[in-house]
Amino acid sequence: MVRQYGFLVDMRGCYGCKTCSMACKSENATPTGVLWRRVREFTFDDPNGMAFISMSCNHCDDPQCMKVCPADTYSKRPDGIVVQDHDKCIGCRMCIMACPYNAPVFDPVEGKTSKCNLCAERLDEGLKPRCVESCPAGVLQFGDIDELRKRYSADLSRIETHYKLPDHNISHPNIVIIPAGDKE
Amino acid sequence: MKNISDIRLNRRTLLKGLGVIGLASISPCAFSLVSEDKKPLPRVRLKLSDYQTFRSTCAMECLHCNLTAYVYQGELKKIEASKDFNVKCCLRGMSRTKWVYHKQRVKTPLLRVGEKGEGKFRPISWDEALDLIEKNIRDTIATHGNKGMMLSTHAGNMDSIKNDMGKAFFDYLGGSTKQAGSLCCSAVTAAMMPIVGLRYADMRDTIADSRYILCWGNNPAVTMQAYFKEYIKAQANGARLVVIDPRFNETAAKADEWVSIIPGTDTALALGMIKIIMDEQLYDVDFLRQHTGAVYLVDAQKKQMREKPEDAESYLVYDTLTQSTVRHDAPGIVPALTKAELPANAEYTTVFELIRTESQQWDLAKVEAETDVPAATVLRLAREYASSKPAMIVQNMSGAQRTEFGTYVAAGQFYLALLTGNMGKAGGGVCDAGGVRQMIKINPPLPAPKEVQKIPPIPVSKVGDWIVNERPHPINFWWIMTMGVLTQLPNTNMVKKALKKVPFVVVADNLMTSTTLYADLVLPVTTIFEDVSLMAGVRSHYVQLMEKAVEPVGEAKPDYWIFARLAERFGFGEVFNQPIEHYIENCLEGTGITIEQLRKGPIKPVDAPWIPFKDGIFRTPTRKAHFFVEEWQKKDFAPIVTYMQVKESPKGSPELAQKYPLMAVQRKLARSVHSSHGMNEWILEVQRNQPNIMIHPDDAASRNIRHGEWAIAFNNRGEHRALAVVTRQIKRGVVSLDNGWWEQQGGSSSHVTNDLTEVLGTGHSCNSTLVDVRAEA
Repeated sequence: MVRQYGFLVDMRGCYGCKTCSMACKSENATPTGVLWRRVREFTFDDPNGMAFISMSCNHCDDPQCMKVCPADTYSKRPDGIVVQDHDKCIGCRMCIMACPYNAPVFDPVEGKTSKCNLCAERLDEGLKPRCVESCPAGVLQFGDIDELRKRYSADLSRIETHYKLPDHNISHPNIVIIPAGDKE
Repeated sequence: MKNISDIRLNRRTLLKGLGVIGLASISPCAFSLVSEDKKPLPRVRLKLSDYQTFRSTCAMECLHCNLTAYVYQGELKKIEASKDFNVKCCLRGMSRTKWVYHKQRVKTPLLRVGEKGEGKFRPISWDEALDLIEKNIRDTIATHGNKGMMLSTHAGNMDSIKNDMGKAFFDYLGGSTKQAGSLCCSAVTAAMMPIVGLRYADMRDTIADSRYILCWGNNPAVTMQAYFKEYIKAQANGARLVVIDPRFNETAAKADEWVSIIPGTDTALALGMIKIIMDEQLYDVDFLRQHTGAVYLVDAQKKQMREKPEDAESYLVYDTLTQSTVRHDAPGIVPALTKAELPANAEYTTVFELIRTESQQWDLAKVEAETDVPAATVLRLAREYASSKPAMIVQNMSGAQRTEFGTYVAAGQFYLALLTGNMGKAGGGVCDAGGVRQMIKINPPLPAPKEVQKIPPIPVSKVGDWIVNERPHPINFWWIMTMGVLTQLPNTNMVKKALKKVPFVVVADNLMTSTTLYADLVLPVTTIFEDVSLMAGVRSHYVQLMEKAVEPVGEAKPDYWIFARLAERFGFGEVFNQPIEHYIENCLEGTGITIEQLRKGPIKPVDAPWIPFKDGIFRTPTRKAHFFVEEWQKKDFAPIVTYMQVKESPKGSPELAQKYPLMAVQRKLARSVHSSHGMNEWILEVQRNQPNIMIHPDDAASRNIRHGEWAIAFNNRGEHRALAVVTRQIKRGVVSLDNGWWEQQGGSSSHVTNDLTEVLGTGHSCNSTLVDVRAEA
């Protein structure tokens, strides 16, 4: 039984093609300007380097969106997926402000916010999340976070310092990041 | 938690009349969609079983990944990589749903009403359009002859039917003016054909087996994106990945080393490496003796010696066993390779010694001075490349060969692979571009006509210039298909003049592209999911059937439908108007592959892994690889790879460089393939939506160019506006410009690129371009 689903991003093999982002967009038919999965790009001049982190909602242990939502739209499924009841959303954008990862996205046309639900319906049908399925290099994986963490020990603090990511202690995200420089 | 399955019970009822999106059931975050009466409707997700699926393939000049279209009630809902295919498609393939239903889709034939370039058209019927075309063809032939008709096709759709049908149609009319050479890789063809006897032979199946990968002037993380997993696999197995490029590219970011080089000097680097390989005897003597023409004898007049002048294959070698000159293919011989093995007073030498003579002048100091690659790096590169086996050079139609003497660049890379005995082995060799045509013979879709006039073609990079100057003759009628001439041909302003000069320009395209703005008549053609076709080309390792998934948008027709209707008007209809399956069968005849088999999925016609020139068997008449290229000699160029300074460079044109001191190189982006996909709203959202110009901080500072602000690259040919990226990821003195931006987006870098024809291969010299850059006022 899955306790908590999560993602794994292996930066070593990611070359920033953004297919995951497009697959998410195509699968969920999100409106213009609404990208649930985005690829952060990092460029360094000294020494030269480029790095990419593909990220959507991290389905945190302590979801800040859920904490602040005044309309009670967010809930956490038994498998740890944070889902939103979109009908209830009042478009206040509190969740966007609270989320350290900018996972929820506001659509000004609709006046509401939406976010990645880890392709919950696909999982229920025995399919993989579309982003994971689409990755040409297989660097994006998902599964039970305990299993993912067992496979790769990720020192999030070190990665957070290097890539200026928020402190994982805020929300305890369910993501494993293997940094680009590591030749493990 | 909301119970999703409760909602699912009613999904069948919900599907009726509601908005649907592509997924598996009701969303827990049920979307809203505003209906005509402004009331939001809940959206329902589709199950996989609700879809019909069809297969096709990306058809422009990329890797031809197999795609599966998911269709619901006649509408294309989403595209995924086909599950049984060997690679996964990229974001461009997926975004094709938006291409099919793009708001700029051409839906009916359009006749120009404004000035050319204004983009003002009125819709007309297909009958009117065909009447007009027929009249203009008849008038042109009457007034200008067949040479007054020009046909431009290229890489916008590389399926096995449409471009061939276009060429055949004009040939059945008696002939037309065509383009000579190609923008992408003529230099590779000019090097590869005489050296190894085959073009489009690639090593992509065994990249992961390589121990040393040298990406030379190209960026496979973007241009071989689907296969880049193989490079990562090779690295995981311990391979060293090295990138030679003026720009620190996406591949360099993954590589073990980036070697920055002055554009246009790659041959000097290759010769420097060859010198070290020769001096240190790191070459493969046995391979050179058995499988190459390095041992052929050359006389004092620098002509290859033959046993019988009339027998082209009777090359002579010096047999060290019998100490006599014999045919190269005589049994039981050990041909001399080096001068030391020849008689002391011999009046001839070997091809190998000519290569030595040519490379000897390229000592480390001279290579460093010319290329700006540090001497120690050159030495290490040569030693590492020659001693790591297998080692692969990734050429992949590189930007390095898109220079004035690009043929020598490509040939220099083959020299390195041959000298070190890397050819024909898994994980070794040269990875060019490749497809099924290196494995099996694919026929043309229809027979060639009996009589076609011989009409001199126009070098592809000179299309604008020559049409404007009526060289070699005036053009009265121009048919453009599968090619964005305005964004891809160099010297855009000259191309605009040409499009304005030609009295009747027909552009067949799916979208209102940059080129359609300058058309007299625009014809709506189908996209890959709207007709049936075959992909058995030079970029896909698989033969693939392209199925019709949805009805064409508007009145769009396949290109082959248009040629069939025109052929009927000119009296050879039956050649062109057969069912499409007839032409597919023609293509497949003799291959053993049938349409029925293809309906089940793509077919690779040989066992994997495919290794071209396996065991050193080449496709030249002698089955040996040739270093000495007589074709070049006939054109009064050195028959052995030699370095020549490109003219449009600070060293080659010091005066011009006073005005335009920066060398511009072109960059391909993950957002488009040339200009295809360039205006897809999903791509613009997920990838970049504005062009960049990469410039070194030192070059930027002296020009007051600031990071993130608009800058303009310019020269005497034109201007290209882009956002400045001030970075040390580009060599000082060099700027990187983006290829493929549409005129409606501000225009591509072709506004400034050189339209010089690459001398040995009739190709493109876009990377021999000088510009200056100014900050936008």
